[in-house]
Amino acid sequence: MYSGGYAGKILRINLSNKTSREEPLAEEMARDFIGGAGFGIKHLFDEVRPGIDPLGPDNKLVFAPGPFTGAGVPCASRMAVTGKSPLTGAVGMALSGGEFPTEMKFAGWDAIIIEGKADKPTYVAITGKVVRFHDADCSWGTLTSDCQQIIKNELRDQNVRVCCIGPAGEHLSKIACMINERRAVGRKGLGAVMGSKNLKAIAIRGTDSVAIASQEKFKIAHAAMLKAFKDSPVLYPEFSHHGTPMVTDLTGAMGVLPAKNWSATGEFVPVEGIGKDAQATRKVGKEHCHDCPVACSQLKVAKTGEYAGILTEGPDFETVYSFGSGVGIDEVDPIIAADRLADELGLDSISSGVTISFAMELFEKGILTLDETDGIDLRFGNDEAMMKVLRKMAFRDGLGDLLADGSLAAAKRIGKGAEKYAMQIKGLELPGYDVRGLKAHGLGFATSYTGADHCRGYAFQEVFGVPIPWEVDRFAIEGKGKLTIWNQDIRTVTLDCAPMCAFLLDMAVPATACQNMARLMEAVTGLSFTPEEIQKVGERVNNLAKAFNLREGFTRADDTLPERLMNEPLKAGASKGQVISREDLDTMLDEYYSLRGWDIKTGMPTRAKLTDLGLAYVADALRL
Amino acid sequence: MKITLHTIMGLKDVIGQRLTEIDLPQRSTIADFLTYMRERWGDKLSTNLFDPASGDVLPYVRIMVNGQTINYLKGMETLLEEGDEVVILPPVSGG
Repeated sequence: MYSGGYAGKILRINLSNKTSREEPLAEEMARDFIGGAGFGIKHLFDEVRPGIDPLGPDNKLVFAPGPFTGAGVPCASRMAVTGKSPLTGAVGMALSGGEFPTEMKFAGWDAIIIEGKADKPTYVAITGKVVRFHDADCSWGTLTSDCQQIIKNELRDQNVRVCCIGPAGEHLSKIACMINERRAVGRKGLGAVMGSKNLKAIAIRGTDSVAIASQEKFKIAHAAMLKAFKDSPVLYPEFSHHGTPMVTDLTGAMGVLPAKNWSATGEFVPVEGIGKDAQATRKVGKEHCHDCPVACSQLKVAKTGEYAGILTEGPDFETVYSFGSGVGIDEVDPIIAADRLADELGLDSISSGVTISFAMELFEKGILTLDETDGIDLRFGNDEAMMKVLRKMAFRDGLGDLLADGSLAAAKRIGKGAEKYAMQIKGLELPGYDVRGLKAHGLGFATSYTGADHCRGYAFQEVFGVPIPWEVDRFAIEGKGKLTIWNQDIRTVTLDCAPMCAFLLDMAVPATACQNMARLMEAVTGLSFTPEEIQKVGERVNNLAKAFNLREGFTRADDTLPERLMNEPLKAGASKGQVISREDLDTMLDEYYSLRGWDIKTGMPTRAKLTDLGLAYVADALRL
Repeated sequence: MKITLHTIMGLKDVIGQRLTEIDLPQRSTIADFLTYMRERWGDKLSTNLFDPASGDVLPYVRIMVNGQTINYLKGMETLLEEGDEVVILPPVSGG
């Protein structure tokens, strides 16, 4: 049995009848799924019936940190929030850092499951084992920072940690996020799920500590991690100072920084205006998550025009792309302002930016007219228009209602061939890596169980040149199936289930991720794993998520790319001429499915594969 | 022949600009290109590009010609042509 790391308890909250109950955390659950996304996806598959409305009372939200959260492990104040995504209809899982995940552990919970629907706007306050339901009369309708302050005041506790939604979640925008402090549970519209339950916020406070199974082993594991941090040529020398915006410079140089709704990648490369150096001129400080020595988050203040004085935590690279190059903006201050506005409104900054860039392209092509844009001149590069549309999306006002559910839903309503300009996979808008010059990213995003997800489809070998587990030609098709499986399984277990910060894997322990995690598991929880067993947890979770999606009706046809990426070679830059043709994608998918042990035509896992992973009951559920 | 050097991060700071045009003799290779860089910018490159002890290119530094990593071309013997763009990338990560 585990003897540390885990609190040993799961909290189940039913909003319909305002009850809560405590459930034990079984050792089998801890061993087979670790925590975070593992717990979330396991509960989702087992408890959420196929075909339910993601915005109905039958959907659930599982908030789950991991065994290392709050235990003093660096970069582990993370949590996964899992539910059925209203944006994609698939598994919706999003990660967040900050202080909230650690507070959950200090309150004594390995997971919190939210069920049902409150009869009126409500927030839940959890103090250790005590759960109280409060009317959200004062906080409903507020921006996320105001909401957090109102709840802290109402509870007379300035140290309570609050995870809430903004107006976008209340208006059921399918690209709504949750915010805790200034950190987002960003993608897949889970903020709308919270809004559909009339749940404005969860406030949590804990006073316990997290037990460590072996202090002696923990010291060794902890020291090994810190040494890897120090040995990294990037983590402290560069990343700690510049944060993720430095990737703008890298992707720009490689010709894969998407621009103008992916129509001008390599041609419009505004690195001078929005890259690392431009961002540095706005930096006023740093932030860090609990127990993180790196502190990659940058506090920035806009300096010019109507944006002067606006502060944000970020913008991170993905937002630099979505509110910058993606919409044709080449200066930093509008991005800072849009980042803050999206956080306050509770909108996913990636999906909202990409949806606006989609609308901008339609406007420039004449598919959307001034009448349909409420008179807004939606040309690329118009930052004022971007700000107006963001607000409209959160409140479903006019054009905002058309765009509030993301680019695919908008395209279906617009018709006129608009769908081919929607840069999304399974309904989730693409992150900031043009896959035409990064083939494993193309396969990774296509096969990600959440859609085009920067946390699932990533292949750091292609972008950063790290030759682990082997050296990779970013333009090659061959071998990308095997590489994608390696990336997905290792990232799933170490980053999503542990959960730990992605930068840890990319910059400090890429070669020893599973060894590092096995060492930590033994030290913190007392559970012994081999590195291979750790990796197998990742495979198990990916298969279970795939099974959930198949049960919802997804097929191989959904593991695809937007038409543009298969038909339009890049016209300029260091990836000029690159494209992923339909044949290329099929070749990669065949390799991927085959090595996964999935049927090549349907993508269905075989009974033998599921049984090998301890998921025979899933094979039964799928009638294999 | 004219070659464009494209750098980022600390290497860009040493060289002073993101894009630099360099004039090299015909049939120059990447090895020649790096020799030119060493002669022009000297020791200032050592923390960003070369190991000062061995003189080798630092681990994880990537050199690309027209977007392709030289490991998939002919390595240091890769021949350059008029108008080529050489991208040199120091270690970077994060997303």
